[in-house]
Amino acid sequence: MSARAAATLLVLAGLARPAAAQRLDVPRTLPPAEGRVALVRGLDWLVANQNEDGSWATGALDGILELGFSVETFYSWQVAANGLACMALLHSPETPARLRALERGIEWLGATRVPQRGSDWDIDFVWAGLYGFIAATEVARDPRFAQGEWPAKLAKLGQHYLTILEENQAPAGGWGYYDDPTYSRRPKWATSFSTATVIPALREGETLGWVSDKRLRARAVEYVKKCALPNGAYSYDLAPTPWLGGDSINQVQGSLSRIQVCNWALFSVGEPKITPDRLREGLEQFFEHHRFLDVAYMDPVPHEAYYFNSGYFYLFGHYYAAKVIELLPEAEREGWHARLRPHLVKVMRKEGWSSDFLTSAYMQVAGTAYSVLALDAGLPPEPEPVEQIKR
Amino acid sequence: MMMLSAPRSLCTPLALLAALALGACASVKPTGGAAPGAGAEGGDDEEGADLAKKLEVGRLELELARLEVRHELEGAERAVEFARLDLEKAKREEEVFRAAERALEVDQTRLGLDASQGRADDAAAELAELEAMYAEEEFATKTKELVITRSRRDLEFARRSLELARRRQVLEDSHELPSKERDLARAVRAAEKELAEAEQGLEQKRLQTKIALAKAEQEFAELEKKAEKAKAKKVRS
Repeated sequence: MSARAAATLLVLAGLARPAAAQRLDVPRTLPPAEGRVALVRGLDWLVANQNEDGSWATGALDGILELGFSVETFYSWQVAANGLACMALLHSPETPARLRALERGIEWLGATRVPQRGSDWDIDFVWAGLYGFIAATEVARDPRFAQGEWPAKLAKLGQHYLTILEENQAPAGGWGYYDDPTYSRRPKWATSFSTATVIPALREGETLGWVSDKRLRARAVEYVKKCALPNGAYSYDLAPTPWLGGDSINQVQGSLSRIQVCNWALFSVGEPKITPDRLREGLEQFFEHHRFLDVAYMDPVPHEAYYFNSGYFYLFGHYYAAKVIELLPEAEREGWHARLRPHLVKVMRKEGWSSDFLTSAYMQVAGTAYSVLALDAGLPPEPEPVEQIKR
Repeated sequence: MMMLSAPRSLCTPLALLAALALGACASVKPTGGAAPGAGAEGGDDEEGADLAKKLEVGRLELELARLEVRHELEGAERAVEFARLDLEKAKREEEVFRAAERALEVDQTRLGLDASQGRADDAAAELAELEAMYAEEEFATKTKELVITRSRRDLEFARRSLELARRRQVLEDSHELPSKERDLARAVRAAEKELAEAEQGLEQKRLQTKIALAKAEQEFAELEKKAEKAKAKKVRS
């Protein structure tokens, strides 16, 4: 049975779930100062929980709730989470400890072996390809890593993960993380949201000279564009006849996070149909229907909640919502970020980590990174310490 | 069950004998046409022709009787063979059960029991992991309640399933397997009895048919003898 078939069964089994919405009394908005407190907690947790070798989390299954995936997949998810952790530290206000943690994290990403396909159906190693490559391009763009040995190291790092993307782009142009029978070396299934994550990074890779074949990005852009639906949503995956009835995942309520990442990706590469108004519309939909993400939050069964939402849509969607906000005129950004912050702060644990699905190590690292990235995107630069100003 | 009655055609020569007794002299008269005014000679010729026909029918019926005897003996022999095969089958089933099938069923039940134990352990471990995961979760209160309730129910079902598997094993050990073993032993004894009866039936059939055939042959021989006498008498006259 393929993972998608298994997921469908899980979904069907979960349809009997009684209606229940979870709400926490949170303010409608939170000012930057409170966001900064949460950001520091998240960053401190990341720095404190880095392994000796520079990695985060573990490449082995560390809970029984995810039994059934291939052995390689847990390592693939660790690599992807490490890419996100590096991105979180990269964009955060610098401290010596954070910079040191970042450098060690990048070194590990470059030294660790490139994940491989886990099984015939389980190709979750594509996530490592996506976030490994995205992290490499973002680090390479940072002036701190534009000198010495870093450019060569980063080019090699980027090439490692680009290979996964080149070899696993589905014929329709996107990237997925499962394959269906008849299994093939080049998988056939893709999703809109996983594809969208990497589109701006591919353009960056072209600028850096890492990506020579521009058709890689062009195919991905076309794929995501084809997933756009008239209701403003993006279909989960490209289908000749998208399912839109009833509580379909392709309704806006089931597409809240995909709307953000797809709008962000297409706008970033100049897709004319995605205007600032489309970005705003998508953000309004995000906040209007946010309760559907709340309900799915921390549900350990994928796609069990209304409109087939999964718990892991939550932090992913909030990160890309923050990225969308950053595409809008500066004057209106804080208004949106202020509405986003409460939903990030309310789910952050007292230790500083965040997760929206399970509490396995890679989920904690990835969730915390998404949270930190989203919070950081909406915060003005930290004021310089008084001692530094005096000097 | 074998038929122990004498073959149907063995009875016929007796009827022929009765017919012969009524007109033995007439039966040996010449077969040529009667001369005018010779009424007594004409009657002898007719009786002679009649006797010759009866003799021919008697010969055919004796042949038929021999065929039927052979057929019935073969039937009885087949019944013995079938009974022997049934006995072999019953013995083999009993042997296979004792040598392998019983152990297989015991092991299969044990595997089911162990699997049930494993599912119960897994359900307990999953509940523990979920409880730990939600221990300090403040926001996902409803999801926590739903998930923990479902997981506790799964654990309860797994434990009840385990208890059923244990009871099933006890029932199998104490009743089902011994009962099956007794049934197989009983089937062997029944097959042995069937074989003995079939062998006995065959022996009976051999004697019965031997006697009946001997009688029929004797009767036919007597009929021949009478025909000879009648023929000799006609020659003398």
